Amino acid sequence: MVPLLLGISIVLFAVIQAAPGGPEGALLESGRFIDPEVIEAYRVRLGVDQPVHVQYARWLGAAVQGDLGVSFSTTRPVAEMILERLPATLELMGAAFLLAAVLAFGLGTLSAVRQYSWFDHLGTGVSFLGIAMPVFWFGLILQLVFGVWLGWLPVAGTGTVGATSLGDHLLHLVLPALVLSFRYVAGWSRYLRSSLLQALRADYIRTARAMGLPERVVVGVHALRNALIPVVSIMALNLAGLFSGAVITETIFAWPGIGRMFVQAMFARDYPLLMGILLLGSLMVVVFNLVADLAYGFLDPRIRYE
Amino acid sequence: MSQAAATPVLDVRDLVTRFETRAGPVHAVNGISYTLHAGESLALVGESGSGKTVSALSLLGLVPPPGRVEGGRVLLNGRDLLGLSRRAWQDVRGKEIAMVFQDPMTSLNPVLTVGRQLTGPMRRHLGMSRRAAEDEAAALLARVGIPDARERLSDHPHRFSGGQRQRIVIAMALACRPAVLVADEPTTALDVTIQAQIVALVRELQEELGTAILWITHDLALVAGLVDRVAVMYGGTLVEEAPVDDLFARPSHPYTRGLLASLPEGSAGTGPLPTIEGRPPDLLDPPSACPFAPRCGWVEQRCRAELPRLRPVAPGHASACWRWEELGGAPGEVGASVEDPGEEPR
Amino acid sequence: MSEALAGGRVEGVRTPRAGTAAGRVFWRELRRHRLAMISLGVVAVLVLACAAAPLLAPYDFDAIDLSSIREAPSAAHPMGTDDLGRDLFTRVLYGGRVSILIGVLSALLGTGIGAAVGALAGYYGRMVDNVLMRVTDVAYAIPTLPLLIVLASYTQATAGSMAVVIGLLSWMTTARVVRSEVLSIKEMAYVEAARSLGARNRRIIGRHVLPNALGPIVVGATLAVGNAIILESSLSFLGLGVQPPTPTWGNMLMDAQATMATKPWLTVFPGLAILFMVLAVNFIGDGLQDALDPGGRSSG
Repeated sequence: MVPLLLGISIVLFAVIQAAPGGPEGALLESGRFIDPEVIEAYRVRLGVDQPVHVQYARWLGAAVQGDLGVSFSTTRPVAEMILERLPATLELMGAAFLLAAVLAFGLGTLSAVRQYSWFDHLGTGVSFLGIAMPVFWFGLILQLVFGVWLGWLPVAGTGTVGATSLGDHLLHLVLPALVLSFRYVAGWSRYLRSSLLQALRADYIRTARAMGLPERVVVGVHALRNALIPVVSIMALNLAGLFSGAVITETIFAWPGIGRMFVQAMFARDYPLLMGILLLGSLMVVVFNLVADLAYGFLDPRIRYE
Repeated sequence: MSQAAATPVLDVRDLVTRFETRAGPVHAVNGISYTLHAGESLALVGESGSGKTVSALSLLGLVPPPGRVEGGRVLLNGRDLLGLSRRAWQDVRGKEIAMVFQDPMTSLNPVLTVGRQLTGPMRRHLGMSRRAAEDEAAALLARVGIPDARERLSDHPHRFSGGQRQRIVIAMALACRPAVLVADEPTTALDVTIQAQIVALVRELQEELGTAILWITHDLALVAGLVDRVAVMYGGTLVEEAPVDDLFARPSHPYTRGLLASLPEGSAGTGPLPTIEGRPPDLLDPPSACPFAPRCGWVEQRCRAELPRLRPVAPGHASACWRWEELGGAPGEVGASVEDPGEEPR
Repeated sequence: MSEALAGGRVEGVRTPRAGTAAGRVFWRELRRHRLAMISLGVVAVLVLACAAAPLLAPYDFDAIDLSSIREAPSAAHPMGTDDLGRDLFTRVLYGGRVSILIGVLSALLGTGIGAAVGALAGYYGRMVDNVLMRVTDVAYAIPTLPLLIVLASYTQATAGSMAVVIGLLSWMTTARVVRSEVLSIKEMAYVEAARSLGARNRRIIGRHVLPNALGPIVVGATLAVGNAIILESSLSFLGLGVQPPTPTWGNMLMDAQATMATKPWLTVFPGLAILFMVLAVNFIGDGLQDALDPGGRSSG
């Protein structure tokens, strides 16, 4: 894991160094007024005159201690800004993940058990749709249908002004979470379906049936336990995509998370902030991959003892 | 082991099972009949493609689509199994009739503990509590020869050898004391030394529990010491049925004679083992003639025109060959030339 | 045995050769996949229509007509007009040229890079494999869209630079797939070759690896096109891709969001174009995959 994190940090550092005119050059180019002290502090901090690897070391050293620099646009520490908005994004990602998992589980299992039925075909159709549909467009359409035409759900923000109830907040969470999860409901349910179908063809399923176990036990206990294993690892790998999707979803729904902040920082050419968010996103992905490995070991006893 | 007036535990009558394939219907099982009494064991012998496994699956209603049992009756303790609802089947399987399959490496669920797989059927069929079922499972494991049974309940199948896994499967099958155990080549995938052990184990368990056993195999020599009677299957039908000693002494069908002649144990001298030339029928059309005719050394006109059915040729001994009387005593060569009536070898 | 190797038919590998029995099975299976066949037609229509935009479009894509602002679909404007009175149908056609071009180019670039990386990693093994796979892991770990956003901002935002940037982030899946194909081929060919051909080992691998891995590569490339179109349109939607007035399906949606409530057609049509294109491309990819692997031997 450590080499991976190092590799990520090197790549991200290189990306920032590659900015036209150098990282602080973009600042000057943007034509906005930025406090000269901020620019100077940035220069010093980066040690712009120093050789590249020294710059990298200093940057990395600071980052590891939680110092991600100072934002160009707000002159506040990047780490602080990120921490402020992080909960909102985690909430959105978490809700979307849960929603996707639950829906995919139901859809995938039912599709496999009722293979070739109308439900199965519908499910496959929905899956294809979900994979092909651009997230932002889906968001727009849902906003149109549920927000404007039907007026059932709010389309922006985390809460109506003045309202502090949990219910109101949850209502605001519905559309963004739905939009973000759709792509993954589609992918995971399809994968679960084929994984389950494969598991149901195994010999041990025949044994279970031969022992007179009821079908719901055969499918629910014997088959699913095996079928879920590869699906779980796909779910973890998709977390990177969930973060990317959050960037767009937060922008469309004005959800105050780091995704939205990222886009705003982009327009402001606020490189320290951009870097910080990229770093955090990558870190999240690595952590979740680790969790997935552990989960895999937990689920599959054959590799548990390795 | 009396075969007299006692109601057979398993009474199979004219069982017919077909597969609907793109090439047409495949008649895997073409009207076979046999009975099995309590405590008895019957070997169903045949080569691959003879329909023996399909017939076994038919007994448990486990024939995979596009296969279907199309006709006949399977009476288990007098009750016809063909026509049972799905629920009813689930009650019968594992409890009154159980099956052991060929490959122990894939028969057990890799992600569940052995204890869980053993207790499952017991709790379902016998309503045992988890505690009681676990106690019983440990006892079963010990009975089939797994040391440290209690601790091993929480192990997963990959921690056991192939032979041990097959023992576990047998334990699982017999856990609810079914009246009939169907064993579909349970030793084929195992080492020769282990094979004998498994056979011995099943024999012991049978004596202990009084279970009737249907042992499906292609290896006649293996089960000669285990079973009471043998039924020989070819091309989806039974061609001979006899008590095991009678079968070896007076095989009354050319196919049986060929089988016996090809056994290493039965050959005299060091010459090449005799083989039966030709290949099994493809079962696409229902046979209107003897299915063995193309490969038979005793074939004549009648064999190709009329399908011979099992007829008694001696007490407890039936054969489906028109010329059974001419076949002679000891098993001999079947003969390669189709038109030749074949000789009587010494 | 050497003949079989020379003929390119290494046992067990999936790519069917034209003219062989496996090749015929492939085409037959592909034709059976109705959805893929229909999708091929759809893609052909879309691509041809967009390519022929100058001929088909009733207006110029930047023909501003302030007297027909924001009109709903009508006979004169089958998809309506936008804020500046420009005909939407025309802009969708022209936008398609950009979006599809970027999609295809970036898919080719990404697949090319991926195939190279995967082949090198699989063939040389050990250290090279290790390093290349670490690089792939790093590339997988960094969230694609945010990185894409940053990289795109470094460029001039032309179609070409967009294609390059997207392509640079789409190589990983192909790399993994190709690597595993190469590993399995290497194992088989190596055993055969070591036995009878000795030193020709390398040449055989070089001549048979890529052709045999071609199947999964093509499937990957097809699916990459759809992915790239989505990425490009997401970028343009955020205002970071190709800039107006050059239309792309994505940036047309950027303008549309504000007036979505009253002028839904501006949102619906470009989005549908994206959806249909990507859907069709995905179906084709799916059909190709099924045709290459009818028994469903590979996972999933």
